[in-house]
Amino acid sequence: MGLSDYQDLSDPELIAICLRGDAGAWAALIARYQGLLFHIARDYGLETADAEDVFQSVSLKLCLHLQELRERERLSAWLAAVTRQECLRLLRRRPTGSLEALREVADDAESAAERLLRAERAHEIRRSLSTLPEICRRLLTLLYGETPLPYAQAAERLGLPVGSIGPKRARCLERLKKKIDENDD
Amino acid sequence: MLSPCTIPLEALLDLREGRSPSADSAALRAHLASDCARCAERWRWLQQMLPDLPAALTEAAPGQTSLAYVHSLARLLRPEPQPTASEWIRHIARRVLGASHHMAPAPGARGGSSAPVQRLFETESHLITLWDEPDIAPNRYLIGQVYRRAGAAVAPISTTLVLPDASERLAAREGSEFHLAAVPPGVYLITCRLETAEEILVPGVEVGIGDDRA
Repeated sequence: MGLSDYQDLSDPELIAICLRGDAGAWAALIARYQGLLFHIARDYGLETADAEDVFQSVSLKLCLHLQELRERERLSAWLAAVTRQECLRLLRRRPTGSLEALREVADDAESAAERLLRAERAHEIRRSLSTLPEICRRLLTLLYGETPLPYAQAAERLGLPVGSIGPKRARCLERLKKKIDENDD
Repeated sequence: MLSPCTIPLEALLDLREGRSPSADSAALRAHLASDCARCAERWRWLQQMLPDLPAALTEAAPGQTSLAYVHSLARLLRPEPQPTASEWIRHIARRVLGASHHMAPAPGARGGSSAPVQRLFETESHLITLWDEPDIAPNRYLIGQVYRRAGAAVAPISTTLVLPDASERLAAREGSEFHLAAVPPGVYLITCRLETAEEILVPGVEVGIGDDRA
């Protein structure tokens, strides 16, 4: 089975298959959440290498605790909390240079909660985005990514008429909304 | 009977992004201020979702070495098979001889072994994670954590680092972790004694071997 075969499964369903020793399901579970873990780690100001350490540690904990997770439908919240703990552990272990970062994190508990919430929201959007047609993902990336392009450039990149970009981006967002609403249900 | 609102999402998007002609904008704002629940819900969704969209679209992903390590953890999920008679003999032999298996250490993200790296060792009943980071050169600082295969972390009563010359060093306890400071490069045996009187042996723990600073 490929990763896409697990795409429509809920977290509890995917976990149940993982616990039967299915490596594909485990890879799908990791693929579903690696963005969330990375996003949180980077949000704590960690470099890529440190974010990778956090990713490995949290994945190991997930693997070891998978069987005893009680609220499996709340996996993303559990992962977000464990990732945050790992980020703090890593910042504490640094001999120098991170005291300031750690102090900022400690002083800013409210914004930490907001960061987690934002990361979880981005994760939900990402998960729904992955189910959209490729043309939608490319168009939304060009228009709403880190460096948004004007309609004319996006149209050129995609080989579409400029006049179609506005309506198409609305249709793609409409589909995205529908997917997110379905996942919420 | 009121006809259902047919304002498309595109019109709300255009309004939010300042693409609507001013006359349309005024009419739309007036509509949003009315009691149209459908548009109010869609407007709220756009307001909340669009600021999160750039982060969702630009996903940072772990490297292939990290992913390969994490995917390899799947083998830990497999249900323990019932041992056959010959496996029992091997199992008993291993216990008598005190040998343990160990997994290859996690590949780490940085390449150079002078950088911190997390390693995973495995015995039949337990997993031991070992955070291995630089101390005063060329020494290393080790932080370990023992887990039952069932998942729970356990705090060893004592953890000992057995040096190549058979001398021993006791690890400091910090919560459920054990800490070993200033470990010179070498190959060690780590022994963890648990409250259940079990003793975990992790032979062949390479510390700082091949370190580019050494």
